[in-house]
Amino acid sequence: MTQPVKGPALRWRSVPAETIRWVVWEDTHIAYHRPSGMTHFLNDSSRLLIDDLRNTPMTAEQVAARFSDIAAEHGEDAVEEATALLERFEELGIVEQV
Amino acid sequence: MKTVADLGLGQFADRLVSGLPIQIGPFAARVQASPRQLVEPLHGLYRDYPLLDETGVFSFHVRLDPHRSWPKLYRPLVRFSVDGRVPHEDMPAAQALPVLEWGMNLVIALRSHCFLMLHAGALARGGRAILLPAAPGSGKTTLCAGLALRGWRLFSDEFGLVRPGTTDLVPIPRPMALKNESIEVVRDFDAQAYIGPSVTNTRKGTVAHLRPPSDSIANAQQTAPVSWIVFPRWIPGADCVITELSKQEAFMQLATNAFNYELLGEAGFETVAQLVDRAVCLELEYSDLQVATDALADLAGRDAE
Repeated sequence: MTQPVKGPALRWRSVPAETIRWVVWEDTHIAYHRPSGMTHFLNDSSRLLIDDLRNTPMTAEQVAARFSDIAAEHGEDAVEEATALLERFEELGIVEQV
Repeated sequence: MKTVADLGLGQFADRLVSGLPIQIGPFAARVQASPRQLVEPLHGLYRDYPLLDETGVFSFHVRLDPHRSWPKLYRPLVRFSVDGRVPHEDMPAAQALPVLEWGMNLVIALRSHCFLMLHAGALARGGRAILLPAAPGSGKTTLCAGLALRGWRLFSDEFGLVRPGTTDLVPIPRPMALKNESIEVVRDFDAQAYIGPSVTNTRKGTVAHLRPPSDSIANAQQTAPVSWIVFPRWIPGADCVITELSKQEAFMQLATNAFNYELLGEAGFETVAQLVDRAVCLELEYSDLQVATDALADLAGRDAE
C-alpha cells in the first residue's frame, strides 16, 4: 500500500505594504485596506504578526511557535488557532498564501 | 447684502411662489412653496438669510406644492420635489413646514459628497469648532440649540461638513427642528428664542423650528478647525459628566456617524483620522441643558488658556 504523500505546509505572507494605510493609537492599529475600502481594528499582536509576515512567510505552526501568547492561551490548539487567524486575515486581504 | 428681512411679508409671499433664491451655507438654494400657511413662519425662520441674484446658478431647486390624489381627494397633501423629481410620497398639508425642512436635509445629504458628512451638531466659539456626533434621540439638537442661544456660532444641528483632507468644519446653519418635550425645554431656556409653529402628528411627533442666531448666518462663509469632538448622551436625571474618550474609540464612533465614510474611501478614512488626531475627544452625559452648556463653555474657556 502506498503511503499518502505529505505536501509542503501552507505558508502565508503579508500583502504588499502599500495595500494598507495604518493609523495607530496606543495599542490599537487601524487599517484601511485600499483594494476593498474596508477598515479594520487590530491589536498589537496582530500588527506584529503582519509585520513579521512581510519579512518572512510562515506556516501556522511557525506562527504558533513565534507568538507565545497564542500558545499560552490555546495550548494544544495553538496551531489550529493560528490557522484560523491566518485564514481570517486572508479573507480580509491582509495576508496571502504562497 | 440684502436678506429675507428686507422683503415685506407680501413681497416675500410673492417670491416664495416664484422661487426664493437664498444662500444656505455653501449652497445656493432656490425655494418655491405655494402653501399660504408657510409664508409667515418661513419669513421668520429665514429672516437673516442672504438673498441671491435670481439669474445665478443654484445648487438645488426645491418645491413644495399642494396636491390631492385619488381616492382620498378630501385629504389635502403637499408634494416635495427637488430639481423636478419627487423623492418620497406626498405628506399631509398640515405638516408642510417640517416636510420642506426635512426635504432640504435630504437634498443636502444626497448632494454633499464633496464633504465628509457627519451626523453631528457643529458649532464654534473663539474660532474653534466643536463636533457633537450622535445618534437620533441623543439630545444633539437640543444641546445645539442651548449652545447657540448661549453665544456659540451655529454651524448645523444635523450635518458636520468637513472638506476631505482638512479638519475645518463648514457652516450650513439651518432652522433647528426641536421635537416633543425639547420644544418647551428650549422655550424655558431662553424666552426670547424665536421658535416657529408647533406641528403635531409628524413621524417624529410634535416638531417646531428654532431660528439660528443672526451672527451664525452672517458668518456662514467662515469655517473653523475642529478642537473638540464630544459625543453627547441625554439621560433623564443624570449628572453632567464629561469623560475623556480614547482616540481609537473616538475614531470608531466618528466613522460610524459619517453618512458617506465608505463612499469617500481613503479620503474618508484619512479625514476621520485627522479629525480625531487633532481634537480633544470626550463623552458627555447630561440631563440639564443649562448645566451642560455651562460645562462646555468651561471646557472651551479652559482649553483656550
